[in-house]
Amino acid sequence: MRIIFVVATTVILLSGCTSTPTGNIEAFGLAAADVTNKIDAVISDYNIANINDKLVVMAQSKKKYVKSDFDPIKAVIIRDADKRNFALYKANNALGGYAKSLSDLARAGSRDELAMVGVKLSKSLKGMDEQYKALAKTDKNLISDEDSGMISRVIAELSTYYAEQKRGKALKKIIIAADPSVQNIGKIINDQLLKGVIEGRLYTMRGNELAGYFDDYNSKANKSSFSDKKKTLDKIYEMYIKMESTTATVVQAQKAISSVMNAHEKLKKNLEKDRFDSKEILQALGDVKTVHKSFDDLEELMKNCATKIVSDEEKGIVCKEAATTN
Amino acid sequence: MSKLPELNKAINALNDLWPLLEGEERESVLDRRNNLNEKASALAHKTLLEGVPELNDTIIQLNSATQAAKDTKGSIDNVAVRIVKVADTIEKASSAAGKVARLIAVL
Repeated sequence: MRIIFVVATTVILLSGCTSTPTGNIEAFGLAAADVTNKIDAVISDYNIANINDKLVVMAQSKKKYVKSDFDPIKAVIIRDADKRNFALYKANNALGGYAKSLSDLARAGSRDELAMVGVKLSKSLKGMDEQYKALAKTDKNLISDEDSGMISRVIAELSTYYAEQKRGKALKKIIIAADPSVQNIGKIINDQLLKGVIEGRLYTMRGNELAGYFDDYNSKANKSSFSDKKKTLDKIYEMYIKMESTTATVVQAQKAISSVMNAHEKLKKNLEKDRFDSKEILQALGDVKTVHKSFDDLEELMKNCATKIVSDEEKGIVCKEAATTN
Repeated sequence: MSKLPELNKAINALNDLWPLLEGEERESVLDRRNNLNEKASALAHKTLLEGVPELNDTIIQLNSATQAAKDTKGSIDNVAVRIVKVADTIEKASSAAGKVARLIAVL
């Protein structure tokens, strides 16, 4: 009877314990992993653009071709096929893997999962009681249904408490320790790789193709009718807009990574004060979700530009950077 | 890598020129564009492949944080596994005891 009293008291005490809600960290991990998937898509687009660029250069030449002239393209395919060699992929992959591990850890040992385990334990204790009654040829319980339920409940509560404490402590420690790496990787992905390499090259490669269409147009301009020329110019204009919006795609990717960096920093700052939940965290998580939804949208870039939309000779249509960031 | 923006700028400028030209002049400017384009492509590839010096260290640090998260998850998952094992052991032990008792009764 004394044991049951202790057990019952423990259940009541544990049920009242403050838990460490890790739902926000789980949400962060999922949203951040989603963003890194999109960056992965940018890498794939870049590889496709590289192959297209080789074909563009071939088509702009007056040379005649045979199968072996595709060998340089084969070399590009082989070179780019294993994107795991790319620093951008490695950096993005490290960020994605980290984000996933956070959401997995934040979900580990959930109350529901441990309650299910408790039910299984309760059933086993009940089975043991049945066996006891059969063996001892008695109707008297070794453990009553109520007691076995109570024991299972207290074990589930204890385990949940243990899991929550361990999970919260570990997440706090990991997020605080990893923040400098997350900020650094995000900055390298944005400044060195997306902005420094991919943005400019995508724009230039699209420009290479566009020049070919202008060349065609110019060579026939004297002999074509107005309607034919207008049709051709409509097509070229479509490609021109695609080329000019190259920056929008990359800028949205950069924004998405920045929102992940910002949310991680907010998490870190709040965890340092043992806060797993705050308005600031929710706002930062909301930003990650909003940014990656409008990933590919030139219109979105133009709508959200806080400074001025300008045309950059190297990047196309861009939102002018604020003076403080220059 | 600082050369890459300059190369791209030069290529963009030549793309605005060669479609207006004809004959040898066109071919010459186009060749120059192709030449610069090849250099830019190789430089971009090199940068993407090698990254920047501090990147590898940062990746290693982040990967160790990832591993710590995975290890902690594993130890938390073990709590549930251990309780299930206890439940299974109780079930098996009581079932075995029942079987032995029935056997003894027959003998």
